[in-house]
Amino acid sequence: MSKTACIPVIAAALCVLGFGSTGAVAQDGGSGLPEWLQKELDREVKRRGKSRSVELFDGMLSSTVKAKEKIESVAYDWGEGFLVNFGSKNTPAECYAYDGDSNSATLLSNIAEVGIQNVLEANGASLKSRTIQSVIVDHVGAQPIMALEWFLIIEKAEGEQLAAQTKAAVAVIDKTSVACIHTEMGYSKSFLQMFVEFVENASTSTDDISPYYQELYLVQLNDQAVGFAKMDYVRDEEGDSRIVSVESSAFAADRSTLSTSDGYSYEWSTPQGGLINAYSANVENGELTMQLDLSRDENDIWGVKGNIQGKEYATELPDVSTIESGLRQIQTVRDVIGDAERTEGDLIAWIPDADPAALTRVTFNQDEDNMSGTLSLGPLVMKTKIAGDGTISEMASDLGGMTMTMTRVWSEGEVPPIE
Amino acid sequence: MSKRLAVLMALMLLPVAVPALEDQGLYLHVIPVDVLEREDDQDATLRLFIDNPEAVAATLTAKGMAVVASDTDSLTVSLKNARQTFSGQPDDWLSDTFVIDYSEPSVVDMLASDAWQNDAQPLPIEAMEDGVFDWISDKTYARNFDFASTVARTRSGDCTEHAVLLAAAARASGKPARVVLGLMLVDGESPFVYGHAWTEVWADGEWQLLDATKPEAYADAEALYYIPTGLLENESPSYAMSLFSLTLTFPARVELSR
Repeated sequence: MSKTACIPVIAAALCVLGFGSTGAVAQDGGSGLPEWLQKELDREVKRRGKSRSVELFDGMLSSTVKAKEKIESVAYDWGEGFLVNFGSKNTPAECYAYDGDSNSATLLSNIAEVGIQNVLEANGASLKSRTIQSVIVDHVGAQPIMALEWFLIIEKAEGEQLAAQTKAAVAVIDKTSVACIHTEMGYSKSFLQMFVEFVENASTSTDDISPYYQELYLVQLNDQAVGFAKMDYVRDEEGDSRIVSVESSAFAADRSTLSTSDGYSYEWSTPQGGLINAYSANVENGELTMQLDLSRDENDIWGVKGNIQGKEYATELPDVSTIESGLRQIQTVRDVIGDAERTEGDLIAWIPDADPAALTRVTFNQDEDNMSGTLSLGPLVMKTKIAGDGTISEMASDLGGMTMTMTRVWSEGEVPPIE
Repeated sequence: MSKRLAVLMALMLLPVAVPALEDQGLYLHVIPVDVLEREDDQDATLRLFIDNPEAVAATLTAKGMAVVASDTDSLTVSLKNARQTFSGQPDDWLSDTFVIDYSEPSVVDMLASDAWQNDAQPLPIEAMEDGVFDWISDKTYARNFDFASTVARTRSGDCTEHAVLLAAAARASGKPARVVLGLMLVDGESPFVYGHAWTEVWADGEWQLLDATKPEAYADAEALYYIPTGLLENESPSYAMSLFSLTLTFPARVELSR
């Protein structure tokens, strides 16, 4: 990534005597930080000024955001960028836009690393220690956002230690990813408000076929949001559906390690819910860990081909005539809740994260209250809530004293019933 | 509805324990422990509150575990043996598999490196334990569940990565080895339990428990107890389902009688 647009940022010239690199850092006060350092971290700015417009990719993505100065655009080989002076004392936020909607967690991690490198280069310093202050996963309407804050101790050549901070935020806006960084100490809320404002006001224009159904889920471990999943359902001229799923998660694996995971998958489905072919890829901590294609050959044999953790992998699936798609899964639940005589429905699906080499039986068991039940993927059992249109709006699973919840936070359009 | 993230999150909830990490107390998923006073003539026990306790008890008993009681919401295991191993013959645990892939170049290169050379050849199993601890220089919870070849290459991971790589090293030297998942009870003034993974290696005619994470690093631990609750029996590309099954034996809370 080019750094030609990066503005050197002087890290707050704060002596960190008495503040060890292993000291606890929390976002609230009372963390044991010296008062003057906490004051620097806590400073914010009132969001004033004119709403200024930003246009990217020849107007394919545009937005407005309050800024003290005109927003300066910069073009790169790999995308476009802009600088926003949102009112912090010395440093604007640097933002970049990329054509593509996947790998948000990897992008968040990487863009934060750019911010850290900017801080080090601007100060001629090396990194002494880093601490994750916060990881946020949320959404603004249809757009998922992720944000990350690193607290840094850097050391100059002469041995002077300084405290510094890098904040990063990433959003998926339609088919474009936007990432911003800010490297001045403090302004955490102000930076995030600026970013959210940009996302809220964003509009896109594209020649792509509009999805007939879209949904966005947030994933929580206990009470902490750690990821999102967004699904688009698009129909082609022949009536077949393409279901694209983009998923990302990020959480602090320990105080100085961010764990990231991104997934991109699609499946083509017949109007009746039969699978035509599928693709699935995962990136974990920035490394491609799985990439698999599922297709049927001329003899109607289903085959899986790709690689897992760097190893070539190919296999034939058991002799089945039909594998069922996500469309059929929705219909299976609808069939059960719409039939007073039935309490259970099942189907066989290809879920490569659970088992790339075999088909997984997915079973839905309806509860007595009609609009809830359990969804079982082999030994993984999840409690589900069913929305009025028969789609699953929430899944929750208890494992070892922890609870994982996936909650639908936004949807648009509808999935027509399969006749 | 995305099933991938559900699967991924389930993998994240697998035992992740790297006692060598300085920040263990903040990030380790610790299972709550209620401490009870035991009868004088009774062994210390650990009561696990889990789903399907009777079925799990039957499975564990068949594998040689000392299950002393089970009812509708819990099962109780004896702590008489602090390093209990599962029973079973060694024949099935020597293969080069998709998960324990010791013939992959990264594992072969690791075993041929200077760090693994030793005057005593074949390498004693205790030296293998040390070798894996040293090889995995990046002790982190950031990995999900890596194969031996990935661990040998990245030199990164938590307890599952340590267990998998040690099993591969042992098998490469002709010793049957298997990955065990279970609970670690760190007994002391404030006892705690967490999900853990370790390795059993067949040596001197019996299964021996090895833990390449070296949990004895806990300075204030009076005693460590390994409570095995399942074996990684499926080492094929379908391994994830085997891992999920093992998560069902992880309790929401435990009672320690001592």
